[in-house]
Amino acid sequence: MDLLEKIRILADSAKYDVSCSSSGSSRLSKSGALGNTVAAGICHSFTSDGRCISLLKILMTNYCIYDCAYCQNRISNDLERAVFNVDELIALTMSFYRRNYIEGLFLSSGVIKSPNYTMELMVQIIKTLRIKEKFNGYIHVKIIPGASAILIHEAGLYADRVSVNIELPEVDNYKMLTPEKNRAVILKPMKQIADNIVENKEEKRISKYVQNFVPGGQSTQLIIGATPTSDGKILSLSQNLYDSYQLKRVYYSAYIPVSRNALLPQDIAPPLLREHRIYQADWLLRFYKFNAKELLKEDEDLDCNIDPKTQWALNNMDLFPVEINRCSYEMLLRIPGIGLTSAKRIYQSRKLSSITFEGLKKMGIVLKRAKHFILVSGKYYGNYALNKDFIYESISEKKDQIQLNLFGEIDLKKAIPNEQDPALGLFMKKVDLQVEKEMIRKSLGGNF
Amino acid sequence: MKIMIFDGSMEELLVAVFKVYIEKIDPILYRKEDFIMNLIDEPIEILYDEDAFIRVRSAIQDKFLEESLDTITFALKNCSEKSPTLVLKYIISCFKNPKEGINYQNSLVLEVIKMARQVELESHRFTGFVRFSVIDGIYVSKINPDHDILEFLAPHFTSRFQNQKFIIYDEKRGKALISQNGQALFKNDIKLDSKFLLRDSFAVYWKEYYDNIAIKERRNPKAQKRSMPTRYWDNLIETKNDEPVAIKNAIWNPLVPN
Repeated sequence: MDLLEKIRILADSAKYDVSCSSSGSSRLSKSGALGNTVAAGICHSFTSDGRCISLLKILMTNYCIYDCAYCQNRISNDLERAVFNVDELIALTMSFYRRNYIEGLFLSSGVIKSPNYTMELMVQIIKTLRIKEKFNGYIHVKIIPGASAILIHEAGLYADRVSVNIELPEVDNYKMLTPEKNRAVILKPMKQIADNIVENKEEKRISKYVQNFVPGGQSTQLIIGATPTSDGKILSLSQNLYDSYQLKRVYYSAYIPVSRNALLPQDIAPPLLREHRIYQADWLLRFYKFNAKELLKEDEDLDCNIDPKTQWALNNMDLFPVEINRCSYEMLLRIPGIGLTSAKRIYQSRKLSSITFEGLKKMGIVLKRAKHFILVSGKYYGNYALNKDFIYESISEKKDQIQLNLFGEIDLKKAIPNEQDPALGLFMKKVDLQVEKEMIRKSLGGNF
Repeated sequence: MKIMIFDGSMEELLVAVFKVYIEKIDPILYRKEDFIMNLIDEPIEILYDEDAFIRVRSAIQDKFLEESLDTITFALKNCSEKSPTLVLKYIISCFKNPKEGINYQNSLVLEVIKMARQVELESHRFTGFVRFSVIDGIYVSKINPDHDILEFLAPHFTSRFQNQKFIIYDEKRGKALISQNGQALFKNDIKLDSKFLLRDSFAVYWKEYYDNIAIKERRNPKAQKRSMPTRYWDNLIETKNDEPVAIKNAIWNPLVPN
């Protein structure tokens, strides 16, 4: 099998891993060695699905002894298989890197023979890259659950970032979908790496000659939509991972049907909007100082029509409106329509002069959302007198209605109204709201 | 009306600041190549003056916020013909009050910051969008960025590829960054021979990888084009469809005077 064919098969098998970033590690170049790493990471290209290519994301092999129902490389799947040998993979990484195609290597693999055997081969590759080839760029390596602690530690010495994929958001899912794995097996290496990172930081404080251990931290991935898990549960799991394992990132991947397994959803479009909303909520956890408990209860889902921050704000209308010229930075971050950049801009420029509504517009604040939640020098610019339902209606992106149209034909048999259905109640409420709005508009004699 | 003309460099910009204060000239500044002779404007060419430059530079370094210094550096390289005038006005308003440099309610400040961000973003993007081809042991790359970002790229690439001889050629401006052993050199007014812009054999592997790493079910060309605008696609080997050409034994003399 020639190299081109191997690239085709093994890149295709690696594509469902969403992690792409080359961030979190900043290392200067050394004389005699090739490359460096940049803290912010660099995207080198973008594929037709809009995701960035930063690292050469590829499997060492897609042969696998496991039979995880959600994975396309499972043993029961009839699929072209290939294996890279060490030299090929190293030559590929080095020449891609020298041509500035990539930022480094993201090495993952199917499990062959045993977790230890696979992990050892992977460690051998990254070790050769680092020591023999003097490769100083970014390396992200996937940890095989069940590999021995010594191998995991060794991988951490050569990698910038390591990851273990949790994939299934609920503990109960494992038994049915991936009998060989369970939550404990996956969390064990994560715990070990988290502990080792803390140890390493402490050692580096004492002596500067200590070797780095996973300077870019660790990440994981959860599948969205393969199991009937609520968004609230997913977010609280992420919150736990950020808190107790100091994870740098949790990635979410909308489930794409790769399997005919009866336990998994069939013939569905990947829930991309849901994934997007969960990512937005994830950003709120990591950068906006929110807690998962504030955003959603365990069994709740995110609203597809509005972003999670707006959803939170509408559920906490008693905190609003806030005076933009006086409130704390933390509160600025919690106003819908104000992002990190805008919050910083408001915070800096209100020291010079008080902020005006025009000024906010210039700064790039999304006033369509923000105006309902703020006072500018004591004046309220929203038009619905803080009425939660009206504000919702006016800033809703109406994604559910668009989606309804996409399906075209509607099966009327399924559409018999069910009095107990909460969705129907919501719909009727919206109709009422429209009628009410229309009445107010008429009574005021114009549009608003 | 008197207007000033300069060569686009930071040195002459600061001399222009000096002239505005000492000779009381209106703060209007154009690059030589952007200025078109007309009946009304009376052009004054800025001549580099070491004393004036050093005096203004030290004043700026003492007084201005660090953010403002970055903003000035980046915004000056923006391709817009208005950028030197706006940067000049920005410097003057910062002299009045250094904190004005981050007053986001001021339209002038906001516009200069926007220009600076455009340049900063593009120079960050191009740390990724440069593609080298190996020709006779030399790594050659051609780019066509909107703004003049070659100087911002130099530190990144020279430190990353210390052991490589490489050329990054800005076709639009006829400029090139040449580097060897971690040292950088800029050449102006040159034209690279087209035979040095061919691709090498490794492009095939990269294209194969690029095509297979995309998830077909998630096709989203809008997102792709937002992150990687189509105007850059000509110089990226993965998005151009013609077959790569392998070159052997090319002669090493890629730089010919224009």
